[in-house]
Amino acid sequence: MNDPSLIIPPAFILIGGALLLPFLTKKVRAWFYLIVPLGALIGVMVLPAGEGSRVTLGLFQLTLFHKDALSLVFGLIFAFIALAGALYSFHLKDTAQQCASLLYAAGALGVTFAGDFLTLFIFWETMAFTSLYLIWARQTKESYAAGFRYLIYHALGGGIFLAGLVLYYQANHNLALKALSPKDGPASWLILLGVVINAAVPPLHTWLADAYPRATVTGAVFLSAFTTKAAVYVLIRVFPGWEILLVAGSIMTVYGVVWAVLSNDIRGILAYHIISQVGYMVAGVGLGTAMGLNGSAAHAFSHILYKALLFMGTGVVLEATGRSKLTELGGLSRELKLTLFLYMIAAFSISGVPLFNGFISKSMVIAAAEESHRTWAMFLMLLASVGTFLSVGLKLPYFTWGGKEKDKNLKIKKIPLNMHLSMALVAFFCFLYGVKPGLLYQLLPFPVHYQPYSLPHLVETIQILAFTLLGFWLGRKKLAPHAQIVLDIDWLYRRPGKKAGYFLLQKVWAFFAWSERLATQTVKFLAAWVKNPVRAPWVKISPASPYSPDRYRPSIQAIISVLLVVFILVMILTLI
Amino acid sequence: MKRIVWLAAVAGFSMIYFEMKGFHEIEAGWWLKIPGFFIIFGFLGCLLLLIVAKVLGRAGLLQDEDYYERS
Repeated sequence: MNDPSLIIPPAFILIGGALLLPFLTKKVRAWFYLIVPLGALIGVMVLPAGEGSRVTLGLFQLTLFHKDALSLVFGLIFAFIALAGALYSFHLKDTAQQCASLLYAAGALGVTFAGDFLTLFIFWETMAFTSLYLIWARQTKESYAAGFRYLIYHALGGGIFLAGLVLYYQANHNLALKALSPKDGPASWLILLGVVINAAVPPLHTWLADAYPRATVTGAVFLSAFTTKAAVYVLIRVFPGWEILLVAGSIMTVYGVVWAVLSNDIRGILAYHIISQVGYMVAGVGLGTAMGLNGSAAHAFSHILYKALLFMGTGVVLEATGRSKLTELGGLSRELKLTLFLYMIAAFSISGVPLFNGFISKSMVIAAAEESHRTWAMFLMLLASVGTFLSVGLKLPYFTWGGKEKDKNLKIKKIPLNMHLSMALVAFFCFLYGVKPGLLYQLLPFPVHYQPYSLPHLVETIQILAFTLLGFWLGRKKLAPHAQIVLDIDWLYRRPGKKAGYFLLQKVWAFFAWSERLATQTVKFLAAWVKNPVRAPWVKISPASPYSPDRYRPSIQAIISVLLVVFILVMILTLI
Repeated sequence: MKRIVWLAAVAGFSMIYFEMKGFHEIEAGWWLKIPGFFIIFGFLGCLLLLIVAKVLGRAGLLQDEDYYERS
């Protein structure tokens, strides 16, 4: 175990499990699906700190495993939530979705323990493509369309990240993972841009609010945990103290809550609250102080727990009723009482209610802003806390479980026991870390000198929450949901962009067709003229075949496929 | 629910007692010198978010569910 070359990185336990999974029988598969992330969790815990598992890829020396305090805290929570997610989807019969979930978790763990930029990038892209399947697996028209938009966003983000890496390598002649500064030139800015796309920083956030509500019930739990938090990990590791992140993070905390107030889809509300919550983490990174970075890491840890639990709760509602819109839900408190109870633990956690884990981590970032005399950032984050309690803690449960049933014919499906068991497991940890903050603080990268249970902090929190509750109660009729969608910045490419696409593609194709016809007819006429100039004007020229953009595609596809196969073979031979 | 709301409001108000005892003297911010500042902040913040969301919704952000299908 102490020999670094013998270390099997936790990501590879998950990759191995995913590759083996399809060959197992149905009964064994479900248990194996549970055991694999458990193995990864044990791996994260027992593997020694330091570097190990080095391989050579062409010119590059890759470090597949690098463990320190920061990677440990993220590794632990990623592996744990993969286990909880596997328990939540224990009843799932879809092997492809199980494999995609494991590979997605492997991507997140691979990023966390990457010792160099190239390893990080490879696992970064693994996350993008495996997570896509969890959206498409819902198999609805909306999920296919949202999945494509998700793919374009992440392909773009990955491309920008890679461009940054190329520039970084040109300048430094190595790919060592280290903190970058704004003075490091375009390379650092391009890498930052690639990372903030995954962190869903507005205006580059629309892929999240678009795709997550359309993912499968179980897939959304994994999605809520990995992509954005892996991006937060990279921000902490590579971009601490970048002032722009403080501004962007503080704004995104409020942006997410405003759009969540307007949303009608329960998982849409939660998706916007991921953006808001990640805002606290991004702002903490922007502060760059020990307290700020600790706060970001702690809040990512807490957020993964309660957000997964929130998606589990809303997933149960969707699984049981087949509905996810507030306008179609209501009066479920009798049938889904246990779900409501467990959901409320997560809702209290995200709202920062004392005794729950959000209270001990969110306040760290806010206190870090106060400590750094960034009062404006502190107030924006406090305002976002109000909005979080308003939407996730009050509006969502009130209109889902409260009131009267909107559809008397609504049939409630029986929920598999494993879904509630998984929720109870995560809820337990939301509470445990809330009452024993030291358990989390001891894992953080810097020593913690922060006491969340101080009298001023308790007074402040109780006052804010109590009067947000009063505000909700008085304005609850104004908060009543509407059967409508809320437009976001993606409108730009989904409406005017669509029209631009019509002119740029269809009109261009029409121009090509016209040009080709003109050229062919001219050539034919010239051929007839050369043959006999006297008779040429009376020769009948046959019409040209219409232009088709698909004409040359099969041959180009064949060439690209061959090149791809050759490239993969070269990669394999290089690795051997 | 109504009872919980009013109990919470009373609990929030009663917190002013602790503020009056002066524990905020050690803190720096001007806002901590205003008793019940976070009562006002919580209530007005809630109303502000609600109003901003409503205004944005009426300004065109809220659209019919088939908005993107019918182009």
